[in-house]
Amino acid sequence: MALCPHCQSPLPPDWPATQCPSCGGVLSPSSEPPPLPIPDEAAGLPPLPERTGLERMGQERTGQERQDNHAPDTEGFMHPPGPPQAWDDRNRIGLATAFVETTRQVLTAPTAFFRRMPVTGGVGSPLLYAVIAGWIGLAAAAFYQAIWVSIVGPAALPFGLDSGELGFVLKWMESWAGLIAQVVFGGVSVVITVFVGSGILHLMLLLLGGARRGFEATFRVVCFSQATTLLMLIPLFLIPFCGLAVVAWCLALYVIGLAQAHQIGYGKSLAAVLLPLVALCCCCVGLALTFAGAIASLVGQMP
Amino acid sequence: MSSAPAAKPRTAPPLRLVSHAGPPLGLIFASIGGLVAIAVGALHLDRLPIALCYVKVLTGLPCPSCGSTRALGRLFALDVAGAFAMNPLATFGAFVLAAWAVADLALLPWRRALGVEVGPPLGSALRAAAVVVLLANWAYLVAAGR
Repeated sequence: MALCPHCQSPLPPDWPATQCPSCGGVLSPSSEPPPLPIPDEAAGLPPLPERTGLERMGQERTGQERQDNHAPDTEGFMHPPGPPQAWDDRNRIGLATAFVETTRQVLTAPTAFFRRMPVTGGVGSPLLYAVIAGWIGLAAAAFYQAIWVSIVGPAALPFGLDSGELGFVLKWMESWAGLIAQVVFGGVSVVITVFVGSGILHLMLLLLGGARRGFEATFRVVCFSQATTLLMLIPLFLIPFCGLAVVAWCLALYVIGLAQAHQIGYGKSLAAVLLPLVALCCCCVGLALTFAGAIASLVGQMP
Repeated sequence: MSSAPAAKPRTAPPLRLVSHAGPPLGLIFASIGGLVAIAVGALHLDRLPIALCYVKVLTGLPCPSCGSTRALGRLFALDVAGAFAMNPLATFGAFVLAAWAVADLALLPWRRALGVEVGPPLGSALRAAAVVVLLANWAYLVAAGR
């Protein structure tokens, strides 16, 4: 299998482009497929019509063509050229390959990934990625938690929480039945998490004047940032502060993703991510986050 | 010979409601709010014996969203006045969300959803107004000791 000379990622066998699907780098001549036949006008064949951007996608492009195609859309935003993202191409390359490749891109080259990420096209596709990644991470975390509880015993609940309905639920969650419930309903909790998180981040962007694109742009950033939950497959609780490092990594992906998706500066993006952490807190998880996020997504974008 | 008056350039209204082909986000968020309301009501999360707000624990002052879970608990018990007393802005947001969900539900057969388009002149004004309302709500929460 051919490898990209820039990022060393494997190239799909029938990949027709001269650009790597992972990093967008121009491939060397040795990894190029044979050139497409060009009709000869002198032989009486009609010239090819001017190709649209979609038709050109995945076909040979020179550096000059890349520059020419780097044109603003109707809203005045620049769209970096490049092949389709692995996740959008999953029907062709396979779900597992697309998932692994997307995760690798998000975790290792987030700036390039979010720069090339389309910000429209529906919420279903990015939500599917978030649910798969989040579900795997939650299942792993629940499994490790169950093992931990079976070894050291249930955690002591804070004063006052060990009685009543909440105490019963918290104790039940640490049992094997609770583990199964967490795995079964994990997908629902991931959906809730990404919607509420996207809403809050979009509200902050609206307040800071950084929501240059619609709610879907923010939503896609949050969905693909769920790649960090896959790190829960590693028993991080054994290593001090590794859990915090994963959270910091996720927040960093938010900052990079929002800056690239909304085409704003990193300062504004960082403020949008940190502001809710500083000004709000966990007591508002119940209502305020949901409602604030909802209203933010209703407005979408605000000049 | 009369000449037709020159057509005035059409200017978009500063704020307008539109229906678009996107997902019914109002309905989705209202469903999430409903699930949270059930959890709050069933588990009595609005009557926890400890404060979960680290802002309040560290400073003694409520954060801008303190009281919203208790407001949801009041709404769950159909006590609207009590909900407004706990957190006016969160309660107002709940009613806006409920109205938006109803609109999305009405547009659902046509695969449309409700959206809002904000014109450039109004964007800055709305942003400033939102900050003022947030601060006013926070001041109320501090004064009321939430």
